[in-house]
Amino acid sequence: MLRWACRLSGLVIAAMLAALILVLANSALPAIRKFGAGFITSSEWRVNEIERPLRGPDGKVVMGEDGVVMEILPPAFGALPVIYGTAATSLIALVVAVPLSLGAALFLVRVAPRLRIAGPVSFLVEFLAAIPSLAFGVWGLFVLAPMFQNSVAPLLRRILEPVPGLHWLFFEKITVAGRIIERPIPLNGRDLLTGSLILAVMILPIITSVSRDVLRSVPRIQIEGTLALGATWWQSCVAMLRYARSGLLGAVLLGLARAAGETMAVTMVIGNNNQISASPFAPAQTMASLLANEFGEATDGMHRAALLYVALILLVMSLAFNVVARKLVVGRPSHAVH
Amino acid sequence: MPGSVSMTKTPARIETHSRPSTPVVRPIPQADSGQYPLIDAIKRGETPEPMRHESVQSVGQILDIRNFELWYGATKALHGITMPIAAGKVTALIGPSGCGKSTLLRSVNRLNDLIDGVRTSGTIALDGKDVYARNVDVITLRKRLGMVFQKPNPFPMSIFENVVYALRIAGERRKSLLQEACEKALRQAALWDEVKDRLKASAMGLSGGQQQRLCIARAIVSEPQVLLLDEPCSALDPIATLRIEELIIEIGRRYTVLIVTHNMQQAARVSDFTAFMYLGRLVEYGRTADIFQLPRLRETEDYVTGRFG
Repeated sequence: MLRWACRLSGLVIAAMLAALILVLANSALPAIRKFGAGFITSSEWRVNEIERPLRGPDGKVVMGEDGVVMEILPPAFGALPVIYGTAATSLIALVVAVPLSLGAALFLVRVAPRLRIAGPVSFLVEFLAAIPSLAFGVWGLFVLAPMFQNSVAPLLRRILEPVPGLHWLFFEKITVAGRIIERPIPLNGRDLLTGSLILAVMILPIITSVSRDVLRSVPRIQIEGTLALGATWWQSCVAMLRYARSGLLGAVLLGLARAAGETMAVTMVIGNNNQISASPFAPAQTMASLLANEFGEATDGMHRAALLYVALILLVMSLAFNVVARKLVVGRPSHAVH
Repeated sequence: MPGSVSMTKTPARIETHSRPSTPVVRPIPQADSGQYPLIDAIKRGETPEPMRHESVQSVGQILDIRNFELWYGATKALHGITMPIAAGKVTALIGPSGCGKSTLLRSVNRLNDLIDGVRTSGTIALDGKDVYARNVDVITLRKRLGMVFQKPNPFPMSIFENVVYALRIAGERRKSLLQEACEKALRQAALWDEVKDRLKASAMGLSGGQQQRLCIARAIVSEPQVLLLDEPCSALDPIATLRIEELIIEIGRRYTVLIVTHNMQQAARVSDFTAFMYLGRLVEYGRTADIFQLPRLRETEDYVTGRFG
């Protein structure tokens, strides 16, 4: 009887996931039909039809008999900018968070127990993981973004702008009236970099706590083996990291999955601009923040379908990260008691 | 055959003598029957003077353990251990589980330092210098000692990198020197012929016995002054055990070896000197042949013949 209840619960969970994917795919169907795989390589995102003067190859407005010839651009949807935004923010977040997390995990496993503070520090890390993302977003918006706007970004600009080859960090090229002009990027603190840093803070706890568990399971005899050969504390830590490398990669992927799917905090600080810019100081958009921003006002059928297409891509991606991460952390499935 | 091994070190008589099915019938002694005055004293918490044969004093020493004591927190694990270790010989530590033989071994390279709440008193002198002296650099000390553990613990890297690990962490980069050292260590560990064609393969793919010989090669690559073996065969099958024992005898010609073992036959086969420990005390210490054939204490005789402990 209970066994059946357990089976039923298991089935319900599997069915929920299946239903989620099916409903998403079904609602996104119009967009999938219309754009196909080209959706992920196109960078146009035009919700409404645009009518604008037609320009010739010389950039001049084409004049017809009745005056200016107009062209009409139909609505178009492409996910490349948000895929880029998600990838870039997640990557920068990982670059910042992984070294810190591994350091913290090593501290928790190798140093804290001796100082008898492993318990409290572990609690803090787990507490950090439980803070709602809105709280991080508010902090990002009211503390981190102004700090970037007023001190960090201007400072970086003063230091980096004169460096040859780094000009692109602070200037963007845009087309105005058919001509390409260059203008400084407004450094208002709400940009890709701020979004990435918020993400880094948010994925730090999960990478730290999973890495801690992975490092804790390194056999004692491995560490003693290196020490007995005359390894220094740091050399034995390196050996420990090497032994646990696949589990640590799993921890990083779990962090990546969270970074890719994180919505609220990023939406608040990333600047929400559906364009690809090389500079991390330019506002950007991630898949999740796009959905948060536009879904509420998406009344048009194709707009809605395109957003759901983005959601589907995000879901499949996160699922893939999680599956791979789980494989790496848990290893091959063991034969449990049935 | 094991016979050929035992012949090299000890007379064959030991094997018949140490077999549990000896025809001599003796009543199973009771704990406080008065047969074991030393053991009884130890059980009362005393630290009686052990039976130290003259033979252990007369040889050149490389390690000199004097009045060494160790506490795990409030628990005292080693009581007044005084024993000289002969240079260039194999010395075995035997005794029932929990008698402190592994603790003593791990005290030599200060691996016990890693455990919380460990305190020591007394001295362990390596080449006349106390390893617990304040100015001793533990890292340098451990580079002078090799250690092999109960379970093979190859690192998750290639066979080659495993063997030269000690040299690598010491900063050695010269490829030719590393290759030379690797081959030499693997030859000494009797593993060269089996792995010479796959030095780049992962060490995790070797069999248990091969892994343990790899660990021995890794421990001797920097030519340590003393090789510490902590029950090196306890996780191996009989054939692999035999190979390791042959290897220990071979290596014992070049290095000073201190080996902890549960297996009395093993101690008899591979060692020159044997120390019998009980509840953190040294009980009897002498030439292996004497300990097994002419022990001076009833305790030792009954322990090595399997009637006690």
